[in-house]
Amino acid sequence: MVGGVVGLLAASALLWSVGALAQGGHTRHGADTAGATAQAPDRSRAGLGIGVAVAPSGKLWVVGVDREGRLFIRTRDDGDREWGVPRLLDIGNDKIAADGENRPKIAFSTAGHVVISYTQPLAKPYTGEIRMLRSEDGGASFTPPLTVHRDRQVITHRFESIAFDASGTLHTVWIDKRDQVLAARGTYRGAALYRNESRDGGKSFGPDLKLADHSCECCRVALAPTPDGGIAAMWRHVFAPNIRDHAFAILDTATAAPMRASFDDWQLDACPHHGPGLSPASDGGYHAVWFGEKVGRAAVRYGRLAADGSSRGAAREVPDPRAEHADVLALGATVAIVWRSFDGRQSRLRAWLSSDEGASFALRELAASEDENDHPRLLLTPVGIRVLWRTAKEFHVIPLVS
Amino acid sequence: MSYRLYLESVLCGVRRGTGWLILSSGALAAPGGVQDFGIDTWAKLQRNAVKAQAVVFTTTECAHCPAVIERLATALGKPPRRVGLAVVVMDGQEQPAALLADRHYRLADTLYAFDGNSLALRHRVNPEWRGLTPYVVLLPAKGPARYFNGAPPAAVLQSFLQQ
Repeated sequence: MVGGVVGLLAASALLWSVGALAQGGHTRHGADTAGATAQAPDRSRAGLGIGVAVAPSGKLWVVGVDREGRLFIRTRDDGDREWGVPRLLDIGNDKIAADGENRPKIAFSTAGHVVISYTQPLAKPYTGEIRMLRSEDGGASFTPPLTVHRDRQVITHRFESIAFDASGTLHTVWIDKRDQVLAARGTYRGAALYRNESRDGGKSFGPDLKLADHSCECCRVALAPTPDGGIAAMWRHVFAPNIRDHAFAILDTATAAPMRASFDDWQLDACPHHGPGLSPASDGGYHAVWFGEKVGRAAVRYGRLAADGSSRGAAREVPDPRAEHADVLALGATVAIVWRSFDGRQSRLRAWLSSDEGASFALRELAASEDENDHPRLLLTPVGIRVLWRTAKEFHVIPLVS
Repeated sequence: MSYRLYLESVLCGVRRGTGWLILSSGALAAPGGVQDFGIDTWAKLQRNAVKAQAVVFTTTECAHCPAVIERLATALGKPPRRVGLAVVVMDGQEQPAALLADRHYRLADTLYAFDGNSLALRHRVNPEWRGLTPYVVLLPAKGPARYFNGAPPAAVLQSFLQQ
């Protein structure tokens, strides 16, 4: 086992880790391969949040921020045990939010476009803008970042999520407070969700479109493909008067109201910093995971959603009372749920695996670390499901389903 | 130099120090500097508290936190306070000047910026804390602490202040 990971490996799981991708653990070598002049402004500490994606070639890509706040990408073949050297990308003087539920993201289109997005916090508290870099050559080079939304008020535009649909349209969804600003103080619940579309791989964007009023202000938004090639979204919503459950919507031009997807009835005037996960189910509808408090019991829960996002059956708690920041991904009848939990000494990476569409699950211990760490991310590769987990010293890829 | 200016300059000068000068001062209308808050600071704060404190754990993106800090500051009264108000910013380590400029953070008697493993800190403060903010701890000079997701109920706060 490499570095500080105290490995707890299930019999069939292999933990591959690379020690070189620690915060501050890499140098600027390779920085110029993208044709960019990397900046190194004074950013003494940055978060561990990463984005992960699989390129059309099958390579794994990660995007993150190093200790100096610089944006990097690294790649490797799925079967390799080592990552390539980090490449730093030119972000000018941007600062990147990469802690907690904030993180840079990366997405590939089938047409060779690659986009990387992040939230740049602005000087005024609680404000930010969504920035994006774009590549038209499969990631060999990237353009400088641009702001994707038309609204340029110094307000909240944060917690973006991005995805290409089957037609190649890029969807960007973010939390936006323009409506809260317009409302009288204290009269608007939460924030709003806005979105836009780009039909040229992130070169230009359509108008800002409101997806929903009254989203939570501080939680990530989950996106997942729909069976007909579109994109579905699930997010923490603030239902009247202050119930922080979850809502679901399809990102299209329809104006249907969001569907309530969870019923924890968690009344809360605080920020959970804890968004949901969503994956399409092979037998229709979706698999979803979320965190919430139900009748005084805080837990990560798993539930099935119908195609319209409505709840199907009772939600189930994952078998870990300290589970947090879960992700879910399905491949055929297999459903993988991963999360981290802290036991007072170390963070444990655990999985709950089902081979029958979520009817039953088995718990698997994957790894543990005493270091600071990011939330685990599930990734579907051409050969199966992988868990990517960044700790302060290492970067782990764990084959979960092959 | 006035006493306050002097004290503020001293406090700014010990930003990388123990922070205990601030904890026991309580004479300022606003924090004079941003104190480091590490994994062990919580235990020290509990062990060495000379008076009761309301401690608010917050983040710079926490939309509900300003109102809760304001509400607690109002309830605790104007400095010097019999019960102190401490604010711990979980993600503010690299922006002390911005923190000090925030009018809500300036309502605190003591302003901290956390640096370290937030999972470990949460566990030390209260294993039941799931990362929500504001997370409020009513820390009496003697006796057990009480923990709240968001603002404590008014009756609980009133009872705490009357102890």
